[in-house]
Formats: sequence, structure tokens, C-alpha cells
Amino acid sequence: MKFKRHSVIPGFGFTLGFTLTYLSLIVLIPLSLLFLKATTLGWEHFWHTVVSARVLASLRLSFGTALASALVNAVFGLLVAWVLVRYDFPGKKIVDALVDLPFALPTAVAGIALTTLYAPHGWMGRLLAGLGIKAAFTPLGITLALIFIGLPFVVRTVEPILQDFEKEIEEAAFSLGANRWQTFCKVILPAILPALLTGCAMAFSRAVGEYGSVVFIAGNMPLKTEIAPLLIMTKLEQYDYAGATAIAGVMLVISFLLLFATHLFQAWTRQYERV
Amino acid sequence: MSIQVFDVTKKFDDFTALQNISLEVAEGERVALLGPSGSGKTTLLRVISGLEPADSGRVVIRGNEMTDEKVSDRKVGFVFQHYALFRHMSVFENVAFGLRVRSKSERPGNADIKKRVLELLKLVRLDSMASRYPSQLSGGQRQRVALARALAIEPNMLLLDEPFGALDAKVRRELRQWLRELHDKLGMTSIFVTHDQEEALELADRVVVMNRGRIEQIGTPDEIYHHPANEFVCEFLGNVNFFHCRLEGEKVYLGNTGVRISDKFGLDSKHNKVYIRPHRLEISRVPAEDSFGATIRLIHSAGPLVRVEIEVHSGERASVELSQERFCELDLKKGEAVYVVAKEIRAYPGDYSI
Repeated sequence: MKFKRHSVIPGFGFTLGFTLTYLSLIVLIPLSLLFLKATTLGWEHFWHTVVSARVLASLRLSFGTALASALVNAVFGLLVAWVLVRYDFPGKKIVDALVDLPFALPTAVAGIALTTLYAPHGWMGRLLAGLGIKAAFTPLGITLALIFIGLPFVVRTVEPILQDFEKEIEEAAFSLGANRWQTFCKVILPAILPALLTGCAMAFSRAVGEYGSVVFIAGNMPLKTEIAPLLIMTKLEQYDYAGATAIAGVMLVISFLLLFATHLFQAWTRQYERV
Repeated sequence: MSIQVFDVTKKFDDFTALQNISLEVAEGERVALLGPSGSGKTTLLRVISGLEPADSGRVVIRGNEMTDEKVSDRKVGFVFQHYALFRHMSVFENVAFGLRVRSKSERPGNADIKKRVLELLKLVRLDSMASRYPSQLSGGQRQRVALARALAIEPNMLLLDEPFGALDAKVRRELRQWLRELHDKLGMTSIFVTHDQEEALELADRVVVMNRGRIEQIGTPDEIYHHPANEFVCEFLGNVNFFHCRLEGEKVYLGNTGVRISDKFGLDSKHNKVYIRPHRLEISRVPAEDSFGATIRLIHSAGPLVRVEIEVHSGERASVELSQERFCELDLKKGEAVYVVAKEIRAYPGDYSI
């Protein structure tokens, strides 16, 4: 089979070779070592580790809260991007800079700040307690922390697409009698959906692996608010390296499958581009 | 009256796009808004459609006050220069869009929508392309989809913003002819914007020539071409030779060295520029009354008409158009000295500036 096609852009062989070597060094080798380590457990032991109630609960919690936070970010991240692109208001530059802060802030700092706020006696915690809602030390608190760290992904991926969206296409929809809501749902949203999915997938992946900001607000009660990355840390501290890699391996496989599915869905939403 | 525009003014910051524009378009009429870029023609179209609010003035459509109505309530079929098709929808869904977004009580059933859309696609001769996506179509086909989409809402009128602007010359000519036939079939009031005078003269019942946010002249293509109201219209419509001239006594002189031309054109002292269309200059081998001498500099003989570039003895250049037969008869060669007579001269008061 011949991969190489004639192209005016030179260097196909070199760049492909470089890319494969680079990816191997940075991603594939460390990850395969992880699986190699996990195999030292033996199948029975591996299975036993993975299906234990505590591990299953932590996996469910990690993926569940990550998904919830990604969905919340999809809605509100889109809203933030929309406002930043469509409107001019005083202080827009500052708001724009604020969006990136979750990227820059050490996650532990964010975790401590959020815990202080949402703890039963914190500012927000007190308000929520009045409504009968407990945020800190519950899955809700974990989701809050994950929303915080995932926000920039959605905003920054959707923003350029919104910026490039032709005004004329919206005008065409209006001139055909569509109202604002119809124009948004039927014309604008399908156009930004691929970017929105990318942003969501990134926010989700980041949330699955997030550790620093979550451990403070989670409370870390086994079976209830103990996230999978923390469980891995716990195992490492007990010198159970193989057990830790077993959980990590399962997380990796699940993440990979979810991201792959997202990409397939994304390709489907862009089928009109393939000619 | 189908469309009435009263005293519309529109400013963008310091730039005045439209200044006290008034215009009436009759039912079924085809009107061209013609002008150079920045003349306000597109802005006027957008004000009529409701895409752009006017600063002052009124828009009335079929007797209904529409000045403050939104574009979605005006029922105008708007066709954009760059098509503005919905890329993620098939051709069929693009055309169906206007029907699908109607409120439940007005929305036709699925079977009716399908019937309507297929009818329209047949009308624009794209019925075999219904399931394609816009990216799979050529420019001319995309513009036809855009037209079908605009027609689907049964609009009060069609507004076309440089509909052929992004297409190549051949497709443009075909589409132009096709659009005229379609218009004759539908009898719909339409206004289209163009900067191409040929397109305007060929397609429109009436032409509105615009410049710097004002209307310079409104008239039929014949009126505009044969009786331009001012210098701007004269220069903008087709090739024209421009000469400085001066009056001495009863005689008018072209250029600096004093080529005498006839005084029968009614020129007087306030005229210091004249315009002569290339086909209104005649070349001959022998001097005649009011002829002036010139030298042939260039000959373009490829085409239905032969264009000859001449240099008048005053040093000014001009172009002359003559038929192939006449050209053969005269047997003209580059560099030869000939005599030229002006059959028609247009002159405008000298203080007019463009």
C-alpha cells in the first residue's frame, strides 16, 4: 500500500517519521509501560482489584462528575464565548483574561478556595445550606471544582468558530422568517457543534484526570466521594504499584473509548464538509 | 405601488451611506440599483429588506407601513452575493427552511413542504441535486439554490444583492438570461444591486443610478443610456470619450490646439467638458464639414465591433467604434492620418465635479 501521494508540500516522510517517534516517546512508551506493570498482577488479581466495590465506586464518581461538569461547561462555556464574541462592553478585556485563569492557577489553590467558599460555613455554603443543599464534600462539590477547571476549554475552542461565522447566514435565516431561537438552534448551533464537542471532550478528559482541585472539596470518603485518581495515589502510598496501574489502565481504556466515540460523533456532525 | 421609500437617510458613524432617498417601485417591476462601490446601493437594498434600520424616512410595502417591522415579518426574498446557504443542510433542507420555521398554524404539512420544495427545485433546474450539500455545487448552482430558498416563502418581492457578483463571465450571462425568463414567468417585483452597467441595462425595466448615497438618475435603460442626466451617469454607463473644450466666439474648440467642432450641439460658455460615445465618432478618409484630423494609434479588431484608438492633433486620445464592414471598406492601418466627425456630443455645466 502506498500512503505517499504527490504533494507540493515537501517532507512527508520526514514529518511523519518525526511525528511517530515523538508520539511514541511522549505518549505511547509511558502508557505501554503502565500496562506492562499492570500485567505483573496476573489476571485474577487484576480483575479482583478492578471490580472491588471501592474502585468501581470511585470510577463511577470520576466519570460521572467529569461528564456532568463537561455538560455544564458546554452550556455556560458557549454562553461566555457568545458574549465575548458578540458584544462590546466595558471591561471585556478583563473578562476575557479571567477565562484563562483556571489554566494558570495551581489546582490546589483553586481547590482550597472552592472548599473555603462551599464548606458548610463558607459564603456560598451557608447560602446553599439554607436551601438544604450540601455542596462541599459531596459529588456536587466535586462537579463544581471540575466545572471551574474545564471552563476555558469550551470557551477557547468555540470562540474562533463563532468569530468566523458569517453574518449573512444569520441574516438569511431571519429573512426567511426564522426567529432568534430557531436561527440559533437550526443554523448557528449546527455550525459550532464540532468545535463545541472538541471543547467538551477536552474539558471532560481534563476533569477525569483532575486531582489537585478536587481532593480538598471532595472530602474523600471511600465509596462516596473518593475519586479514582485519589485511589491511585492511595495505592501508590501503600507501595501497591501494580494495583495503582491496574486502576489507571482501566481509566485509560474507558477514556480512550469515550474520546474515540466523541470523535466519531464529531465526524458525523461534519459530514457535510466531506465531498 | 409595490415598494415605496420616502426620504430615507442612513449614516454609519461619519459616513453617509444614504441621503434623502425616495423611490417607488411598481408591482411586477424589475429595478436595478446601479452604482460604484460605496454608492449606497446595497445599503438601500438592506433598508428596504429590513436588515438595516434607516436613521430616518419610511419604507412602505404594498401599502403597509413597514418602517419598524423586522426583516422576518416583511416577507422579502433576499438573495445574498455570497449565497449564504446553510452548509450543514442539504439543498432540499435549505429550500425547505423558510417553510419549516413557520409557526405551527401556518406551517404546511411534510408532504406539502416536499411538494413545494421539489417544484421550486425544478423551477431552478436543480431537482436532481436535492440531496447534495452546498459544498458539492458550483457557484451558479448555489446561487440558484439561494433563489429557490428565497422564493419558498412566497415573498412580496425579491431583493438581490449583486446576485452574479461572485460568478465568472459565462455563468453570469447564462444566469442573467435565465433570471429574466424566470422573472417574466413569476412576474414578481424585484430589485437587484449591481455595479455592472451592462447587467443593469439588460435586466432591468428601470435603472436607478446611485452615487455617494444619492440617486443621480432614475429611468428606463434607454433613457439612462441615451439621455444621461449628468456627467456621472454619462461616465458610469459604458465607454465614453472625454474632452476638455473651450468656446471662442460662436465656435467650440476641442482640446488645446483648437480643433473646431460644430456649434449645432447647443454648447455655450458654461460648458468646458464634452463627452462623445465611441460609436458616435465617425472616421473618414476625406475631410468633411466639422471634421478634425487624428492619427490612428491602435486597432482592436477582434469582436463584433472594431475599436480604433485615435490621437487627436491636440494630443488627446479617444476611442472610436465601427462595424467590421466599415473597417474593411476604409482599410485603416496603424499610424495613418484620418478625419473624424462627432455625430453626437454630450455636455454638462463645467462646475459639476465627480
